[in-house]
Amino acid sequence: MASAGSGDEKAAAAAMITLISSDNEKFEVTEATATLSQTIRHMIEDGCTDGGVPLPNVTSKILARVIEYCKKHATAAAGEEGSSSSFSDAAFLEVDRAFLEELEEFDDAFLEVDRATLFDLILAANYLDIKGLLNLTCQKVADSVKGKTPEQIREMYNIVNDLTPEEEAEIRRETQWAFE
Amino acid sequence: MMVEVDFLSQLPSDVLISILEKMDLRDAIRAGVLSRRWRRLSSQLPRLVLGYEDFLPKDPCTHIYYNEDDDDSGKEEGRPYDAFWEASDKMLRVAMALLASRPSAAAAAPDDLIPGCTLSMSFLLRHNYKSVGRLLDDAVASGKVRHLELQISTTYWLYKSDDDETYTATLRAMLRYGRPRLRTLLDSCPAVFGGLTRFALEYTKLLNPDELTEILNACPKLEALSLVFAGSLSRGKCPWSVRHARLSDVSFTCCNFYPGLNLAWLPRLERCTFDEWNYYGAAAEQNQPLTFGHVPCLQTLTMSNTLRHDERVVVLSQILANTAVADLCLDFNGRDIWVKPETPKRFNNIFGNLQHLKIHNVHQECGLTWTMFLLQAAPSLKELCIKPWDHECEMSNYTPTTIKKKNVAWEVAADFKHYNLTQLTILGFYSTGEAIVAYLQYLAQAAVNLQEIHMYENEPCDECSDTPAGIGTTRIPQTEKDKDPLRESISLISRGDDEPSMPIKIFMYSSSNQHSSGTHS
Repeated sequence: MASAGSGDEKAAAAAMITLISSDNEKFEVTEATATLSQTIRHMIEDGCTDGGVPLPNVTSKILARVIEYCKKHATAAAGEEGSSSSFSDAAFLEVDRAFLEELEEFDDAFLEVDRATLFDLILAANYLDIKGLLNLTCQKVADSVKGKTPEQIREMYNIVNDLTPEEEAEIRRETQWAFE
Repeated sequence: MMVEVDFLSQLPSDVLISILEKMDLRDAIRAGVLSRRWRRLSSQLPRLVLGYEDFLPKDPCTHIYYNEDDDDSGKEEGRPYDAFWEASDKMLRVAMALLASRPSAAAAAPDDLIPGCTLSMSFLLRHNYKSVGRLLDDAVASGKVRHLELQISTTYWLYKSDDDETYTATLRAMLRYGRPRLRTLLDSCPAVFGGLTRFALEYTKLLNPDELTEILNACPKLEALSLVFAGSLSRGKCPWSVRHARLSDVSFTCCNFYPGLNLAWLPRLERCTFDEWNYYGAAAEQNQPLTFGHVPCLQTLTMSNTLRHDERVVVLSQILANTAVADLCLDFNGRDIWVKPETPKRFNNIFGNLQHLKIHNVHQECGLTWTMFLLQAAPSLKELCIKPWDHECEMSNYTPTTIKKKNVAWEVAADFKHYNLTQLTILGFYSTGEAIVAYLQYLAQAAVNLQEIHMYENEPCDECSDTPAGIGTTRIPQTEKDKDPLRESISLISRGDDEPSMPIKIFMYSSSNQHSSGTHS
């Protein structure tokens, strides 16, 4: 029984899914990689992935990056499951440090992209519902405005200020503590 | 010049909110002046986290505390500078401004994402505690705050000195103003307690079991409870009994629940932590510091103690009767072994579900043989993790460890076999590796299906400025060549003739080189 079970698992892990970008490029990925996306996971569960999964909102350039992320993190997830460890206390986390550091380095390098790409990645992560990638990319944006004044942020991101000077003064008064 | 696109504003609102959530609260609130849309988003943050600590001066040396023990007047005049007083005032002002800017549930626009937020706040029971209470009560009552997570404390913890007089004075303060102020909140702010989902009460002594019951009854939505130095100061007669329909996490640290704490009816309890309990004098052996009643969901139990209490040990078979935990952690902090080894019979399948066992900080002089009683009692155990105690530094404030229970005795039948243990982890070595290696050899022989042993070098200590004697020498072999004899000495152990034994994979990790592959020179 045990051997049959693990055989099935292997077969499932090796199952391939075809993802089709908005510009009609096809990407073959393992199910383990694809299911980091909750959106795709649900499609697989509903059995509607035969003939490929069209992703009309994602270009091939962005999809390639997203897949790169998912491949790396799918391996990570498999590693965690493989060790079947349920230990979650600090002492035990220490021991996975090397592995986590490597993943962190990957994430840092992954985020070395221009702003347009970063926002496309956020949109793709949101559409495909890839929690880790969405967190990672949103954190990058959050960090970019850390300690900046509103004027600096507006300039950085070309945000149009549609508040009247009176309204802005009012908001500043209400939230004065945040400007101290 | 080309007009650049406002990429940020093209993102959907829920994504922008999650970006705001990742910012520091000040940054997220400042973003409210960017534009109309940002204004709306920043007043809809789903979770606000405020702590008085954030309003203390950066330099801890300036954290002067003025003893409020004899002054309940709240008068500013003639008061010496008190960093905690000022931080409490600042936090209250900010909390008022934050909550004022949020739409109440009734006034929320239809496209607003979240009707009420989670407010996580830590505050001291200082001069302005009533104003904090009123503010929170209104916020919950008006629907602005849906879930409340509170950490309430007195300033007792400020005293880490050995000065007995200060110690006594602060203990008195904990009772003198902590308890009655908590009482006042309980009586005057029903919505606060009604909205609590997580509650941590620290350095505020309770009077008796009824008071704890009263608090729990006031918090029907409570999911996590943490008490730190919050048991009674005096000895009581009745055991402290805890009943709650929703609680899933409980944690008790340095609480005296004499004559004992009984988690009587917690149908949703999943995790329990019980640390630094105090016996307060000898009680009969059947009187355990902790017992359980109806806790069908309890998965994880962590127990830790550094207190020395002479010959008093706990009897796990009695503590864990009525439970079916899957994950158990016992931390001895380098002190005497405070569990009593028992025969498997006594456990009567209590450990039938136990799969993961962690035994931390076992002093070298106590030996490891006694741990076998747990293996014998837990036939389903899959994973065992042992962390030897390596040094004393964190305890430097205490008297040096004297271990009384040297080599805690336990006899195991020579032919004892464990069939489910597959993974063994050793976090660090003693000053000599021999004790560990002998233990590993023994386990390798008894656990016939053991597949992997992971050995980690002692972590460098964050607390010590200089490396204490012993740690520097407790190294696992550094090169593959040196690792082989150790591997062989463990893996060549005969694991019984009738079973075709699988080879054990042994991984060694040194702190300088985190990869098990090791460095070949």
